[in-house]
Amino acid sequence: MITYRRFPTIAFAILTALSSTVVAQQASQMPGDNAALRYWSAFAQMQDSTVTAEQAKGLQAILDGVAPYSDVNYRELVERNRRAVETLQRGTTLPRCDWGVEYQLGPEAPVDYVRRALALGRLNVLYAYRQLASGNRSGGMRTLAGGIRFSHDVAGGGTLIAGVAAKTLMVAHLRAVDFAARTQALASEEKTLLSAQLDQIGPEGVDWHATMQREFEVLERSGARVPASLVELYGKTVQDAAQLPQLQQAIAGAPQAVASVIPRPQRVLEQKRELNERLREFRAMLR
Amino acid sequence: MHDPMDDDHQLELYLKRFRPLPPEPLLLPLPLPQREGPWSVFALRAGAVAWAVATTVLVLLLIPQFRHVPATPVGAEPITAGKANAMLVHAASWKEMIDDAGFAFRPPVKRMEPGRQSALEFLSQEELSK
Repeated sequence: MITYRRFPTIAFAILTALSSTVVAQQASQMPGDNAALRYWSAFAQMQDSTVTAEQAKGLQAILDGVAPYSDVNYRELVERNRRAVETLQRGTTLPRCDWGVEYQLGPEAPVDYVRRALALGRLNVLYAYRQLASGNRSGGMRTLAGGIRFSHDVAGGGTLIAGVAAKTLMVAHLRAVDFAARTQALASEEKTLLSAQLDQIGPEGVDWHATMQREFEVLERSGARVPASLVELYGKTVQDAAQLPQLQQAIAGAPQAVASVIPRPQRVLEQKRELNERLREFRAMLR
Repeated sequence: MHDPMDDDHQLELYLKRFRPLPPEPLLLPLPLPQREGPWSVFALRAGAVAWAVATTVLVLLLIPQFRHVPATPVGAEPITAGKANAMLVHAASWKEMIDDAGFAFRPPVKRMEPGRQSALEFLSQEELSK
């Protein structure tokens, strides 16, 4: 009897607890917490410049780590984009990043943010080089640490193109930190700063398995009838390269219409291996 | 409609092709007259060299001004998930695809025909709302 009498009170308490949990979850998903919105603001702030083919090659060489940054040549480009980079940096302090890709549109889903993110991330690297060259080492290291987080965010919720772009950006940032470390050994506070960022991006920096799953979702919506067993095997191969021969055999045996739209798995594994090696070296440097 | 961008482009091309001519040998009767000594020949040659150097410096100073032409603000064709998949499947090299400066730094822009302007640029003008 006592139990029955208390039932409304208990139910009310449960409902109150549930509703407060829902409210708390909604509060934690506020649009203001979404880094992607800040990154879009940064894209809007980007200032284009015309560059010659020679200058473009020079920029690529700097990002590839085979040529030193030249402030004389690129100061104007970097300074024109200072505000965009600063907005990017503020975005990297936010807890989550949701690009809101409309995957229900299938192959027509716009993913142009990837191209813009690639440009913005590269500007961030150049900005860091400029800071380092002008003696602002702490600023340069903060810029690079934020850039690592940004690179990770580029891949989040994206398809394979986002993963490949994120990996490219992350490697460029790690290379720039390596350059700074060779110029002058990393101080303990710099190691702490960079380690904190690494902790946030997970062991591999990019979730290749998730990007491939979304790639297959897009293919599915485009009408490509990829067998579920092949999708599953691809996912296993991304996590365990030993499955590659079996996967290659499965792709070769698939109908031409299917095989011709599946990105080559060995390329995905190459991207993953290269980033993992860079991250391993980087973590060793921070010890 | 006259397009100043085209003029700039033509002038830039002309300046890039421009090479100062080497000084030609002086067509003086030999032997040189007694009153034109070696000093006057030296002065002529020095003048020609100075002219060539000055012209070269002028050209080098002018070229950067033509490089910083404001970009035509017409966006590239947006990338979709399907196009991205096709790029990844067909690209000879993913690195080259990603590293392509046009992809990253300067999306391919359409040049405006003379007398036309970007509709997006027009719609984004502040004057429109006044």
